[in-house]
Amino acid sequence: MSYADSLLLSATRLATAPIRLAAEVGQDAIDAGREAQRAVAVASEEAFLGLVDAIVVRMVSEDVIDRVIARVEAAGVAQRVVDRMLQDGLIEQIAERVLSGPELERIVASAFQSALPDEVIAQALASEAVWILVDEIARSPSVTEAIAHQGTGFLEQVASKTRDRSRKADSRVQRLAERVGRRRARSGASDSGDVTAPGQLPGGEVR
Amino acid sequence: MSTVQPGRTPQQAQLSAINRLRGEVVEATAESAGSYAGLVTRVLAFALDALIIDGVAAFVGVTVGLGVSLLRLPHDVDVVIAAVMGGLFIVWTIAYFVFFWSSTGQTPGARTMHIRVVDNRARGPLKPRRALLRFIGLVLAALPLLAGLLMMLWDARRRCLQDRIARTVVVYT
Repeated sequence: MSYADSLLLSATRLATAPIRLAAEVGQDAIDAGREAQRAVAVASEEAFLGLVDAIVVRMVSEDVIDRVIARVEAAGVAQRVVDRMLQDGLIEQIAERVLSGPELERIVASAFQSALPDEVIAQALASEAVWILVDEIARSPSVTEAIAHQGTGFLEQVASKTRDRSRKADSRVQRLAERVGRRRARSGASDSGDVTAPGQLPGGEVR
Repeated sequence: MSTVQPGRTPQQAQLSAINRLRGEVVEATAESAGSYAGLVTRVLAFALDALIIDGVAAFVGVTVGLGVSLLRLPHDVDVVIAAVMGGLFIVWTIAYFVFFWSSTGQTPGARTMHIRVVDNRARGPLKPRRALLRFIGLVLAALPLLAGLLMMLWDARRRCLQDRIARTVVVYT
């Protein structure tokens, strides 16, 4: 770098020093503003949450919710809302939408695929109350009567089938025996040389 | 066509022919109705009865046998008890069939298969003496390799030997 260049650079720096100083001061002011804004936001958020917390605590401790619900019930708001929903057919639409939509299938499928059913069954089997309930149900007269009825019904069904088949077999065996009898009678007649009709004795006498 | 046999008057021959025709008509009517129980149904009913009879006999036999084994009786007494039990089995079997044939005409096996033993003419239950006769006939029918039972296949009213002896028929109910 030549001497002239160095001199020019120094002059430029000297000339722009106030501007740079002003820029730095401005940047610091902006940063300070942002910091203050952030601090205000945090403080206001904390104050708001504290307020909400205090409101909730107050509502819970003084049964405000119960009073509100009681007033809503007394005014019949819930009844009116339900009536309105039923009149407008909103309930039907919701039910139809839920039942016809794929969401329910997905929910059911995912519920069955999850460990929930196994867990439920395992807990149910481990529970003594379930076995007491099963025992009570099994001992109830209606259940025992139904089981007995089903048992006798099944036996009667088997017996009925057996009867039908045995009667068919009776006819079949009878036909077979008659065929054998006719064949034997025919061969006996041909052996003796006297051809007679079935049901007749040789010589023309009716059997 | 019938011919008058020597030694018979025309009236006797006519009467015989009428009776024969009457019998054939009765048989034909009954046969067409198909009301007489066949071989398979009767065998199944008998098998059920045999199951009941043998089951009860086995239960009693095992119970008595266990009791006797606990008492440690002499061998001769054991033999006598066995003979008595054998006699009781025969009596039980006879009583079983005679009781049911003479009361309702249906043994439990016959009731299951919906068949009934009835008097040939009165179509009602048998008297105890006829029922006993029928049981004897049953034993006789079974002796010649069951030929007495198989003869029902060539009888219009599906009668076995015991049915012919006791003048009974077995009908579907």
